[in-house]
Amino acid sequence: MGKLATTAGLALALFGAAADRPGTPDYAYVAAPQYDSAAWRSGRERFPAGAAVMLVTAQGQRKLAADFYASTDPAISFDGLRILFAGKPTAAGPWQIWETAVAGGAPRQLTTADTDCIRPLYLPDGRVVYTRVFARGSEIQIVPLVGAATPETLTFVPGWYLTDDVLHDGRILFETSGDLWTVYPDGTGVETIRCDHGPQRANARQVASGDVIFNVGKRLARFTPPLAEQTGVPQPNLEAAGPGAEVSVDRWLIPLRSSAARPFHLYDWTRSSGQRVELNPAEPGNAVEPVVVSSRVPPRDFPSARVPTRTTGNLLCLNAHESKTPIAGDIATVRVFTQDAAGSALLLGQTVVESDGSFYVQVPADRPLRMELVGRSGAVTRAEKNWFWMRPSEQRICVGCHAGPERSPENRVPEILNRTTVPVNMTAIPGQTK
Amino acid sequence: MEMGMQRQTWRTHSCVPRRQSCRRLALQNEDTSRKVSTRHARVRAPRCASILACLVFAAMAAAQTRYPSPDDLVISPDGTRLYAVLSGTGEVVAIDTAKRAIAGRVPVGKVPRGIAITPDGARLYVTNSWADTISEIDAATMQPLRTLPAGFEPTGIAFDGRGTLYVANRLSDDVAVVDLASGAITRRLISAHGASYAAASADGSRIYVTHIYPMLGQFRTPTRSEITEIDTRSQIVTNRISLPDAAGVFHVALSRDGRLGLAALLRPRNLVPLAHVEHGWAFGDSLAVFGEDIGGVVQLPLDAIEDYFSLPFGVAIAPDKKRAYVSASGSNEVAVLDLARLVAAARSPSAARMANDLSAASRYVIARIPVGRNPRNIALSSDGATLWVANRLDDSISIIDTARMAVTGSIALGAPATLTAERRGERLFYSSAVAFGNSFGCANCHLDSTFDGLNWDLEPDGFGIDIVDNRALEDIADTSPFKWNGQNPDLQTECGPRTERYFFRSQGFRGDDLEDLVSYIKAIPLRPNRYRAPDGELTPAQERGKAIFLRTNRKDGTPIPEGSQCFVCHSGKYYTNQLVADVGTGKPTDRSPLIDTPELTNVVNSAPYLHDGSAHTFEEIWTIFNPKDQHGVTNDLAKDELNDLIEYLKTL
Repeated sequence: MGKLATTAGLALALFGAAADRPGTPDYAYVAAPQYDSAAWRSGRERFPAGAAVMLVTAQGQRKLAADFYASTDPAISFDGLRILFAGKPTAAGPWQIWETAVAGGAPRQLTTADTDCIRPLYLPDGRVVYTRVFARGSEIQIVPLVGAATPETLTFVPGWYLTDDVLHDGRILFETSGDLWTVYPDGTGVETIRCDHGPQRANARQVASGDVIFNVGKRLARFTPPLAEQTGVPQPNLEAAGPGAEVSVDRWLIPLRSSAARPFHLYDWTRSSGQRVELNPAEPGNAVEPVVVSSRVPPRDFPSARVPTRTTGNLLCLNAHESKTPIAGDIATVRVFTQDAAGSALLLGQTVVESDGSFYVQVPADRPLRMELVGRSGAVTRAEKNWFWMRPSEQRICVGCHAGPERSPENRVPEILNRTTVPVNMTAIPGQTK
Repeated sequence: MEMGMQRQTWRTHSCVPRRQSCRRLALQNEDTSRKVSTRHARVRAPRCASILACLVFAAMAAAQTRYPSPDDLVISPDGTRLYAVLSGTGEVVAIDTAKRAIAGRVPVGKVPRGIAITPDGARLYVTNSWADTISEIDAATMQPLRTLPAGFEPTGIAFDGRGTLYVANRLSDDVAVVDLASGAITRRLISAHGASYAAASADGSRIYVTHIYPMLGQFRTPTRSEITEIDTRSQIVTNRISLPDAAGVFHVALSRDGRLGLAALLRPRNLVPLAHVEHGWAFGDSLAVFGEDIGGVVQLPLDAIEDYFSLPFGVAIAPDKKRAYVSASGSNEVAVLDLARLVAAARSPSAARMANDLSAASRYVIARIPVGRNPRNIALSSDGATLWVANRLDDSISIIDTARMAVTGSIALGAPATLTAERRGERLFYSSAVAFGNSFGCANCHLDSTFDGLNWDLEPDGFGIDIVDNRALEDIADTSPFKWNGQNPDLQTECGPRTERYFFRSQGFRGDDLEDLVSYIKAIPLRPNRYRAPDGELTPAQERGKAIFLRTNRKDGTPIPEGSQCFVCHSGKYYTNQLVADVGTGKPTDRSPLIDTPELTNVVNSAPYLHDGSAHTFEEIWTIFNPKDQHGVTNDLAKDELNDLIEYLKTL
């Protein structure tokens, strides 16, 4: 606490910092004596020595939640007037989601969980998505901004998740298993944003161009709509903690450090010229998670077609043979698995794959799902590495078993639908009586 | 067997016993819906007189408001003038390219669409798509010279450089060969479905024609279109370049050396359930790349993974053959293509697989330049330095500096100062911004506000069921209910939450936008009927067909049950009683056999038929899909009698 107070005090000493750099917009960032961005993946604290969201405007710099023990993860509303953050009023309680006005005022608590709630983001429909942390994993959840409601969970495979951003198209961008995934705000359509499966990816944000910028180790990389694989991002020869905040196409506020032994400092970086100006040179600790305080165009709202009263979803595969990587061996059938409470695989069923590679199954909703392709000999030809889920009434189609988002479907009626429009029922969970 | 008939419970506004009134309405050709609405208005009049007056005034103003709506462009050979076809005001304007200002204008026929210029720059030829004519214009004086004949809905036009025009007729599926000396059509060349755009090779030896609708193939089989290649010396079709998996094909352009051709096209995914929009699930926005440089034809995508190049439309190839340009009329942009890279991609062994690869365009698309709303055709200056873009729904022309790959100016074409609700709605209708990743909009399926000739698997709850044919939108304001099964009582229901939830998978039309969109759709007019004489008199065959349509007895004299008489269900101004019925045309994959009775106005234009598009022709409706005489009594009719019935239906 004392360390944090020092940090905040020094930050306050930088009163007027935003005005020091012409054109630097109002922004917020997290001042933290210690910062371990990957700690959440193993259930540890990202800010073990506390943290404070600092608000920097032309009028000066101030601690956003002055009475709080700690605050992190600032996110700005679309009108630029309010800020979400994860906060701890006292050292004892868990992190919860709070909202306050940029202009000041008492923060309003949005979550009341008994475990940590972190990394909140505004959704265009008046709700907030965030990460709920448990002892052995985390979930992505949603609550309304106004009015009490039971949080809605979007993730249904045990694991560690962290919300990163809300994309312009309305999908939620998150991290899990070292990769970047997207899911719609009703929990449907979960998939990796690309299928090139590179090394550990983290701290992703979308910029105005539509590109998604993220960390790969100490460096930045990006996904851009025209390409199916990640590409590099020209950057200073320093370690970056995420892409930071985009001021304009050519200017980012970016946390950088020269070595793991040094804290991240915040820079106003002009990408074309390479010029960078440190925004808080007197800051002794880390300055990370910057966000620009301004209005912006909200993402597209997503109209959910989900029927919550259902308990199953339909899954159609167009061609199991379609894959970015060659499938060695023949494909005769497909097995679909779920998990038991201990995480062990349970076979839901097995069905024939048509000669064009299509199959059609009905599966239980809101459970882990995974598939294996099996050859005529009974040997597994290809097994999915990741688990996924489907929501109640979700209608989902895959081009292939590992096709990648760049692969559009062939315009053919899959053979299975010429034979039947009734899916193979795999909704009975072994050991579970109805 | 008498067909079943059910009244929808929500039809509470009906004032007359519909079934009893059907025959009278059919015979007198009255408009039931209009009568009903007038009656309601009369009751409310004392309280709402001023509001009504305002509405009437607004409606009159809207009806009188005409927007220029530039569609096609052509540049004079000396580059000093750009000519733009204004389909909204029925004009051609000449633009001084140096001053970037309008230098003259001339009225032409109804709804002009295409334009061609003679090599000496002296004459302009403009297709008048609703007048079925061609306007010949003196380009220097901008004075009309002659009106020449064409086919049904002439759209694209190309000149062979020697004295012959080739005109793509959208509704007669042919190419009219017009001899300029005589001013007469000398040949009609059979093209494919919806012949719409035409381009000549630089030497005039060949004409290439594309088609807005796919060819009618077997039910639920992959789509196909073609580029019809015509030899201008023999004036015959010498090649039909097949475009598998393509549906709507738009403008086509040839390189100056004639070795490379490009055509903008759509690759629909209508055979796959529309459960997703990501991954190009609805449409592939593509180019056909063909000619000697390729050694055949391949299709290459223009889309990116989360950023679609929606509804590619206009095409231009630079004189030096280094670049090509394509407009996207849905996502409002122009793509710049590196032609060497495009040709390399087209010639690579993996070219065929690239057709469905959303990352392939990164090989050859080097820029995407935002322009105005609904960019239609584009025209490139002879030096390749300036690209002109007709922004139909902005009533403007964007000027692109091709070296900078940026818009450097714009020419306003004199649009009215205010936007009507219909115009706002039209902008929404043609925009792809409503769908995930800008992937498609209303106009992708309702091409040029018509239809696409496709059947789709759109059912949101299950796969392979309730296959539905895309219906036309002309003059449908008073034809509720909507949807193939009549489940949507009004257009707000048809186009609102349902559409965004199940089609666009993104924030769609809401609030005022939805009302504007509905205003536009209700205002889409009926195209002129090409088979009905101007005086309304029917030919003998049409008269015989009408008698069959109105008959109440079989040929053997036995009575036809009322519910199986054609005119009972197909009654009223729009030839629909606006009810659902089981006429035996449902398929095992349909959830319900009850089908909305479709309107028959201009039905001749909208093949295929039946709710799922399973009938290619009128005749198939009765000979293949009506074995038990549930859909009217037709099995006692001979072939020539069916032909007569067809002739009559064409006039509706």
